[in-house]
Amino acid sequence: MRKDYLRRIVFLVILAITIIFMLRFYFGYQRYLKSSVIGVVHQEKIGNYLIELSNWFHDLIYFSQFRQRLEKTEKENIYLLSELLKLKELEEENKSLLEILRIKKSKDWNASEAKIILVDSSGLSGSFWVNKGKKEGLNEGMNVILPEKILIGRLVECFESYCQGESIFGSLSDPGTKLSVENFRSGVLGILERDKRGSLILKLMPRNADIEIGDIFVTSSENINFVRGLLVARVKEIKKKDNYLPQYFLEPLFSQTRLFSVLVITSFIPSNTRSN
Amino acid sequence: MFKIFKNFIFFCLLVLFQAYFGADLFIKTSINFILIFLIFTFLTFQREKSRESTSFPFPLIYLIFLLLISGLALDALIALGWGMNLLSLFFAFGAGLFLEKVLEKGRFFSLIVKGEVIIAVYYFSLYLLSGMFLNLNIGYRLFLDFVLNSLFFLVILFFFMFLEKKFSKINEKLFLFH
Repeated sequence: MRKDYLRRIVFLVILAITIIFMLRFYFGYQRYLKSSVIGVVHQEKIGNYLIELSNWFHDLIYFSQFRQRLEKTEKENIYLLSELLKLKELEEENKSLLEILRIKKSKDWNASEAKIILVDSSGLSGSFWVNKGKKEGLNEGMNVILPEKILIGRLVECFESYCQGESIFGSLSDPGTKLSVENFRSGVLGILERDKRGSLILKLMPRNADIEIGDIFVTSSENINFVRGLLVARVKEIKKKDNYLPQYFLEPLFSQTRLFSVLVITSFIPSNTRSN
Repeated sequence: MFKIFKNFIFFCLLVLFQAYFGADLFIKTSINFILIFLIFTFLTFQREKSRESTSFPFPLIYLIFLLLISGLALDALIALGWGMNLLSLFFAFGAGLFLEKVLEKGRFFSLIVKGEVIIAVYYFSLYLLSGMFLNLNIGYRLFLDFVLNSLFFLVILFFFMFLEKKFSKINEKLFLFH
């Protein structure tokens, strides 16, 4: 009985020491462990196959949504055809708006193409991994976008062959993180935040701000971390109550699709990241 | 030993599944398959331990090993803060081991309580750690995750219990992946 008790105590002591050493190693070699895990989980051939398979299942699950979206797009197409008559007028308006926003049509930054290989599986942080790293010239702080100039997020940590990024809608969970945005149509400035329920809302908007449902918001020049003029979100809903400021709910522009190829803006590194 | 090998293979497949199939860039509620699998592994081994009289607690060491790998995988994939998932898993299964001593063994209700408490402690620890060290505002999201995972755990548990009753002749082999 006593022998058994002693053996148990010895075992517990050994176990505790082992766990302490393991934890020290775990916290001491964070960078190495992180990139190794991604290296193991993402084997080029198997990874590509799994991404394809997961996309296939995704398409199967969201089949009815795709059909609804197709119907919606067809209706939109018909509407756009009728709008063709106003094309010249719109072109003129667009030109003047671009003049106001001073957004150049030609891009004034260099970008490198990368592939998203892994995405946060819990949906808690909105983080993702791309298949290029410091070897290819990527660095922390660089903006990640879609070819259509839609902002996805920024790189937060870079290793030799991989980089970890954070989606803008993930980083907005942090109360300290806000995104300064600008209405592409009317030029109204605002602060994009995520409320406690996870919805994207506009803050610091004046009562009679010129904002309509469907308006597109782009990053404004007030952001230190993001290039100006990247597409961010669209106004989904406006709630107006007497004596209260109207509430603006936005939806991201990239949430509807699964992402594979992205562009990393290599010519822009935020000043606060560069100093690190 | 072969059971553990099978369990580990299944675990590896599940980590891959979690990494590729639950992923989304936009924050949303999702099922933590790794956590649910760990709970079932824990419950199964505890159940076996109560029936066998071996003094060497190999399943416990194996479970700690699984917790380490799970923590590593989740910490690498979720950018919440290094070590948060690992510590939360240790807290959660520590609570599970404590309940193992306190609650009645071999009862269906105690299985439910243990599983639900592990899930609750895991998400509560994540909430506390993310609030303390990162000042994150994800309480509501974690609560939704907790509810979804709890329900999923219950469904799976009832499903296995149903199978066990249905095929009582192969009872032992069927229960929880063995």
